[in-house]
Amino acid sequence: MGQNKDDIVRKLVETREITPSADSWNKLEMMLDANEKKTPNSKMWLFIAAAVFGALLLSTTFFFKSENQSEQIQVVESTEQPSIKEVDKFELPSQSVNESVAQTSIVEKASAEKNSPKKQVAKIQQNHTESLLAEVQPKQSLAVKSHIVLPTVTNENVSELLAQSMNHQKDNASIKVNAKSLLAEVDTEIELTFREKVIKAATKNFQNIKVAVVNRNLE
Amino acid sequence: MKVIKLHQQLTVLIDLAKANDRKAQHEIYNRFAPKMLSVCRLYIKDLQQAEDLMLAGFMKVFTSIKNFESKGSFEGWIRRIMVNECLSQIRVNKKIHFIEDEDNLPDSSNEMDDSLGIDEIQTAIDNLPEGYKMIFNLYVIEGYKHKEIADMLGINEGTSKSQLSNARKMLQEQINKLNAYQNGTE
Repeated sequence: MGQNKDDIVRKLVETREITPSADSWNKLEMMLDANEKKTPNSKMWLFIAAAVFGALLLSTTFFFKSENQSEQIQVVESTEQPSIKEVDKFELPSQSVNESVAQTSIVEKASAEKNSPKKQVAKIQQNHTESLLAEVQPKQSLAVKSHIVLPTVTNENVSELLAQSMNHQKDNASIKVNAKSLLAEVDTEIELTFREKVIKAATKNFQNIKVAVVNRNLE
Repeated sequence: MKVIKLHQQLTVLIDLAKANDRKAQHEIYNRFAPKMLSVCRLYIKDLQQAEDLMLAGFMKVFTSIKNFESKGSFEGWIRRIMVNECLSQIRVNKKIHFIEDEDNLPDSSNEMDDSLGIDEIQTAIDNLPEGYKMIFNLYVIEGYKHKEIADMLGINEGTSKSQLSNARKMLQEQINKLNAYQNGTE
């Protein structure tokens, strides 16, 4: 007669079915459609990810390019300093050419170590020594010539020659190059162009994404 | 043979629903919605609110159907989603206090008149306090253990047991009242 209460209740509840209202499925369908519109599909995400990756790649490429440019300019700057010294040394015939090359390479090495990796320093050194040698060689020949010419100079011309050399020295000394200001100028110019490029790339990609999203929404 | 065929059909429907096939989703909805509305109605007195909760539950079913690995029963999986939806809704709307009363012993009278209908039982369940109703439904209808209920609701196992005991007593009283009313003795 009697039956376990829990079993009766469970049986009754499990067999019961309540029919939902007629428009319940329409409601659910609308909810599902809205949810699908909310979440963009995986292809869209892939496109966005690709666009972001492309922008990053472009920006890093521009960044490294500009860094290389600045390094090259630095090398030019560092060669100028020893060249001024070289002019001074030109007046001293006793100083050997090899020594001057070694000195300039040391100066250059010190400046290059601050800004560029070791490999680049080695390359720059090689290029620089070659250019210096090219510069020094005619000077060396001049020095040799002066050694040869000096004994033929008469006593009358000595004072004139001395005055000329002094003037030449003064002229050389009057040329002053502020390396830091030059470097700062070049750096700022490069940074500005780099920024412009990055901004351009970012705006272009943003426009692409915007257009793609608008097109997708229109579909 | 018929059961196997139905199961195969359901597997195909689930696969299609995973690919966002609206027809398959509609078919699944038609097949399980009446049962699930009954489940929701157990927890929620208002039928319209119960239906809204059922729709929210189905929404979850279709958005997370890709996670269903076909290892257990699909109906059981949907049912669990519905129950969780109802429980979280009740807990959002009302602060439920589970008063622990260890003195309550399990009721001795485990007998019930089997002539009672589902409507009477539903009315009796509706009249239970929220805490009692939740634990009674979870233990008796859904078949959860006290440990599982305690974990789900964040209460002690003892509290779950005492709440169930109280719920049974109160339910018996309700049914007795209904019987008396129907028989015209009250």
